[in-house]
Amino acid sequence: MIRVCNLRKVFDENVVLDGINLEINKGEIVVILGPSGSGKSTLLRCLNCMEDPTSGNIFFHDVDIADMKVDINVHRQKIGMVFQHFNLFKNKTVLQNMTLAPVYVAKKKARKARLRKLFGKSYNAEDIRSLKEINAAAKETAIELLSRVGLQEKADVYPSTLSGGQQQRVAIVRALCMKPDVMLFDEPTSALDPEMVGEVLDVMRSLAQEGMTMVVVTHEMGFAREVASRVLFIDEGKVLEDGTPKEVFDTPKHPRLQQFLQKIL
Amino acid sequence: MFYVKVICMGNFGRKIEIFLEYMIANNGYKMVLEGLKNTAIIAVLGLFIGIVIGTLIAAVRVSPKYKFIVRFLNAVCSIYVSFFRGTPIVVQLLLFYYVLFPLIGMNITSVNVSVLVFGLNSGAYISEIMRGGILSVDRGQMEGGRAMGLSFSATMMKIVIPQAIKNIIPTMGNEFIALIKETSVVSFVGATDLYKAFNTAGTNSYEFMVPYLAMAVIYIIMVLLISLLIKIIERRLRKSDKSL
Repeated sequence: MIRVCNLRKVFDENVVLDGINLEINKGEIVVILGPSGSGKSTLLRCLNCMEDPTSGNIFFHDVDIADMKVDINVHRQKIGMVFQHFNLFKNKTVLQNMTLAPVYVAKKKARKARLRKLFGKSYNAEDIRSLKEINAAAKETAIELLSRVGLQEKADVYPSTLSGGQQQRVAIVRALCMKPDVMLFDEPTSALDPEMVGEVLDVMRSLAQEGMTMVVVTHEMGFAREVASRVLFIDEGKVLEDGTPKEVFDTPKHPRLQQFLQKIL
Repeated sequence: MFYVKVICMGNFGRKIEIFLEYMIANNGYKMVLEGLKNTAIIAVLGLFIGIVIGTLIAAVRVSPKYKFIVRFLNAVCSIYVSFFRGTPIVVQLLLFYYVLFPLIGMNITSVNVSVLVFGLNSGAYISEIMRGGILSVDRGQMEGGRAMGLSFSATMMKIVIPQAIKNIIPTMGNEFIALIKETSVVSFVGATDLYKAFNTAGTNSYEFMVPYLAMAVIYIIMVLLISLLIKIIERRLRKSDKSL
């Protein structure tokens, strides 16, 4: 689903990613581990081009999204992302947070299809929907997802009134509203109080059980061991180890990984 | 001592009488009303144009500079801002009224020129205020929008700018107050504003003390009313932030 070829990222003179090759298949749950400053967050942010790669290719559904000519927005709609600091829109209610992007995209599609119809070109009849239908559909999806994480009664409040754990759960379902093919998690529990980590991990766990493709940067070793189908260890911009959780945690080969695990376990 | 004071007061009373007579009997109040109207038009429309221009410029200036067109617009904007911030507004008024419009052969009233110049001028200042406002919004808001697949401009319009506006309401109020006070120079191009109305009142009666005092009082009342309005708006915006 995602194929990374020889990815390099350089900030000024600081080489953060140094030739990463990686393939992520449908249904895989990949956890990326590494000491701080190792480039794991940068790698994740490169996967949806939040950081533009210095060189190399990133293929998403066989389209090179690292190419500046590609309309990155279309592809990002299918790549959900969850941030360390939630990044919920502060000026929107929870429900508006969730429906904003789906409505925006559907409106754009409808406009395009109408134009194509007007000029007698082929178009997808399903795309032509009234604003009312679009809003209703987006709202329905949003409410359904909200109730799945037990926050349906918070639909009309502003994010600032929610706890960190609640905000992160909203952020996860906000990304799910776009029906993404893959979800990227950038340290989703690092900014949370310890007692709220569990509720967020539970949501991620149930997502994993449903077969969602996930790429997770985290420091939660328990989660990695239990949920991941594959664990990557990154240091100094290189993938040093790549294997099942069992292989990586129980029989680490690279000395740097052995050292890392010793320190944290 | 007491005698001198009485004479002054008596004198002052006489001056008020002259002023009132001119205002009411000679229809001087009509000119004041017209001046008030023009001052309000120039300030309000000027602020409106300024907000539109300022927001556009600020959006260009914070855009990522990958594309040539953005870099080009950015250069245009910085020339624009340095011109309008670098010259006095009187000079701009005179340039537009006596140089630019005659050169392109357009006939335009002095009030319209004033609206335009005040709009362009405040646009330059508001762009800087707005830029500060946009930069004060957490970067994560932009990232959150972009990661959902919204374009830069859509995220800007729907997420970042609404939050930026909330942050800059107090500064914007200052800009509006400054604008109202600066309108007192539009008589340079012959527009009737408050200054011109009271100046005419003074010239007609050879008595300037009371008209100018009245003018100052009217300006200060306007500014106080606006400060009050801004406070109310600010409080309302904060409320929507906290409530629920």
